[in-house]
Amino acid sequence: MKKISQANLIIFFFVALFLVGSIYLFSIDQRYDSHKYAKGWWSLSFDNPKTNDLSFEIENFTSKSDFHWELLADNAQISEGDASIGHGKTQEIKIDADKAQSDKRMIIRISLGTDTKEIYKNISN
Amino acid sequence: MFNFLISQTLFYTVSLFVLFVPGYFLLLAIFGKRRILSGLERFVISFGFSIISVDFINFSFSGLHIPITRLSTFLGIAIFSLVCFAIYRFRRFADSPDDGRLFNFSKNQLILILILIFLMFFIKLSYLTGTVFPTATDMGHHMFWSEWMADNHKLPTYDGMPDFIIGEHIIFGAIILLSNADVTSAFPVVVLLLIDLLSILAIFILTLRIFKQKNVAIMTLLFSGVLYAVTSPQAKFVSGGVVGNVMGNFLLPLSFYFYYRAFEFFENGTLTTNESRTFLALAFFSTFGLFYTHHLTAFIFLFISFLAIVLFLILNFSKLKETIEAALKLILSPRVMAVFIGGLVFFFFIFTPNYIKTSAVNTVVGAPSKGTRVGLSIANLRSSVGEARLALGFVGLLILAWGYKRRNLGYTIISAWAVMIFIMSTEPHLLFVNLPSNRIGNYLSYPIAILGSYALCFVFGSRFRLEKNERIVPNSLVRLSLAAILVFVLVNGISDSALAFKNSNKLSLIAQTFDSSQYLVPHITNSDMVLKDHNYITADSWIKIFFMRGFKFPLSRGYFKRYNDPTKPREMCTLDMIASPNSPDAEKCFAGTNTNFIMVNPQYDSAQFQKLKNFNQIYSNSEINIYYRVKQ
Repeated sequence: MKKISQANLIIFFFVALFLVGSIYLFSIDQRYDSHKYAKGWWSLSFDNPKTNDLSFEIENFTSKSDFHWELLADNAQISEGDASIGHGKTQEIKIDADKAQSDKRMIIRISLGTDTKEIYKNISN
Repeated sequence: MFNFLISQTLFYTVSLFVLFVPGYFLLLAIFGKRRILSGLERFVISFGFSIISVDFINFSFSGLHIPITRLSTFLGIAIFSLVCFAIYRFRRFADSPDDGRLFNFSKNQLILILILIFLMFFIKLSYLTGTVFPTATDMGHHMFWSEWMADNHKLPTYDGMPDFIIGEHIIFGAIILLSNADVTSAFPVVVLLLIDLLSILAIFILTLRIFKQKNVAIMTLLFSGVLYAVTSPQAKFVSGGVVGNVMGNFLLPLSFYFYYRAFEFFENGTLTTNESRTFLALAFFSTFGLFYTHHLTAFIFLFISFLAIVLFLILNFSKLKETIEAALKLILSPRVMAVFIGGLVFFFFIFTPNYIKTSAVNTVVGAPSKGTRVGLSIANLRSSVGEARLALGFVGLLILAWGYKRRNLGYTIISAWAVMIFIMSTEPHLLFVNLPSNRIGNYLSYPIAILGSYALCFVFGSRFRLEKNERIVPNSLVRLSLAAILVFVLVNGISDSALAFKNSNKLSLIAQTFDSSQYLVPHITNSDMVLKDHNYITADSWIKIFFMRGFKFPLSRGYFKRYNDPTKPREMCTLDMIASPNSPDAEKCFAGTNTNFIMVNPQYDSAQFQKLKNFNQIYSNSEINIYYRVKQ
C-alpha cells in the first residue's frame, strides 16, 4: 500500500476537519427558524393591512396556548373570544366586516397570560 | 435527513467545482506536476487562483453580454478547466530540482502541525457555533448582492456605491446559481471560514519559503491560527461578513508569495529566468485578483510594495544597476507583460471596480477627517493585535534587522509589511492616509505573527529542536524562559479570543425580524415603500433579501451619530419619518419617498405612531411593530 505523503496527510486532515465542522454548522444554522430554539415569542397581524378588514392572525411560538382576544372600538369592547393555539401553530380569526365602525380606532387586543399585544386600524369614512 | 444529505453533497461538490477546480487546472497548465510547487502549496494556491479565475470568467461574460446563469457559470468554469487541462497535456514540462526537503517534516513537527490545525478549527468553530446565524449587517449587505447577481444574471453595479467590490460577491453568486444555496444558511460563513483558514496556510507556506526554517513556519500556525483566532480580522470577520477583508487577507500573502518566488534568484540561483518570469506573471495575476476583491487591502498592498521596493534597492545599493537590470529582465518579458497588460485591459475597459469609477481613492488620501482616523496609540495597537504578539513581533523585527539578508526579498517584504502598517495605523498623517485606523491596525496581525514566530525560534532555536532523532535539549534556564514566554503568549492569545465569546441568545430576535419581513412581502406592491430602523432591530440588514427590490429597499434609519456627522452630510428623511412622523418635514418626506410601511422596535419607537390617526398598527411581536400610513 502506497504510503501517504505528509502533504497529502495535512491536506486530508484539513479537509476532513473542514467537512466535519461545516456540516455541524449547517446542522444548526436553521435554529432561529426552529420552534425548539427560537421560542418564547408570538405575533399578531391583520390579514389585509391596507383595507378595513379586521380579520387577524395569531402565530404562537411560546409554551402557552390559551389566547384571549377582544375587539374594541375606541376602547369600548364589541366582541371577544378565546383561541387555543399550540406551539408552532397559526390561527386566523375572522371578523365580520360590519363590526368596523367609522371614525373609530378598531383595536384587536390579545392576551396570553400576562402578555398583551394589540393591533389597530383607524377606520375613516 | 435525506434532503439534508442531498443538499450538503450538492453544496460541497459545487464548492469544490467553483473554489478549487479552476485554480488547480490553471496550476497544472502552468507548472504541470513539477516539484517546483509542493503538494501543500498547490492545494492552497488552487483556491486563490480559483477565486481569481472565476472572477475573470464572469468579467468576460459581462464584457461579452452573456447572461450569468447556472448553465453559463457551469460551462464557463468547465471549459476554462478543460482548456487548462488540454494545455497541460499538450505541453512538455522540464523537470525541476527536488524542492521537497523544505516540506518534509519530522514526525514531531508533523504531529505539531496537525495539532495546531485541529486547534485552529476547534477554536474558530466554537465561536462560530454561536454566531453562524444571519444577523451581521455586513453579511446581509454582501449576501444581498450575491443573491442579486444570481437572480438578475449579471454582475451588480452597486447603484454607484464604492464600498462594494465585485470580487466579494462573484464566488458566492456562482455557488448560489449552481447549488441553490440559501444565503440565510451557514453557507456564507462556511465559505468565509474556509478562506480564513486558507489564509493561515498561505502565511505558513510564505514563511517557510522565506525563512527556510520549518519551526518558524509551524509557529506561525500557532501565532496566526490558534492564538487570537477569534478577534478581528479572523473568526469575528468571518461571522461578521467582512467578506472583502477576509478574502484580501488570503490574496495578500499569496501575492507576496509569488513576488518572493519571482525574485528568489537574488538570494539563490535555484530558479531559471523562465520560472522567475512565470512566478512574476502569477504575482501580477494575484495582485489583480486582490484589486478586484478588496480596495482597502489593495491600497495597503500598494504602500507595502512601495516601501519594500525602496528598502530593497537601498539595501542593495552597491549592486543597484545589476539589481534593476535583473528585475527589468523579468518584468519586460512577454509573459509578464501579457498578464500585466491583460489585467489592465480588464481593469479599465472590461469591468472596472466601483471604487475606481467613483474616485473613492480621493476620499482615502488626505489629512484624517475624523477622530477615528488620526491613528492608534500603542495601547490601542496592543489590544488590537495582542500584547504578546506585538511584543514578540517587535523583537522579531529587531532580530531580522540584526541578521538581515539583503538579497532575500522575503525579509524585505516582511519588514515592509510590518513597518508600513504600523506607520499607517499609528501615524497616518505622515502618509496622508484618511482611513479608519483600527481597520488598518488589524492588518498588523499577520506580519507580526510571522516576526513573532521568527523571534521565538531564533532565540530558542539552537536549544530547542523538534527534528527527527533530536530530543528537546534546552538547558534549565532556557527551558524556563521558553515556558514562561509560551505561557504568556498562550494566555494572552487564548483569553483574547475568550473575551470575544458572547453568550447571547439572538435566535428568537432573528426569528421575529424574519417573520415580520415574511408577513410584509405578500402585502406590498411596486408602489409601496418600506422604512425600517437599523438601531434597534436585530438582523435588519437581512430584511432586504426577503424583498429583493434593490439595496435601498427598505429605506433605513441609520445610526443616529451618522446624521450628525459634519464630514458626511446626509438626508434626514429616514430619521424624521420615524422620530417625528407628524412633523412638516416628515410629511414632505413621506410624500417624496412614498413610504407607507414602517418597521420599528416597539420598545423604543411606538408612542409617536400610536397617538396619530393616520398610522395603523398592523403587525406586532415583541421586537417589531409594523405601521401602515393611510393616505389622507
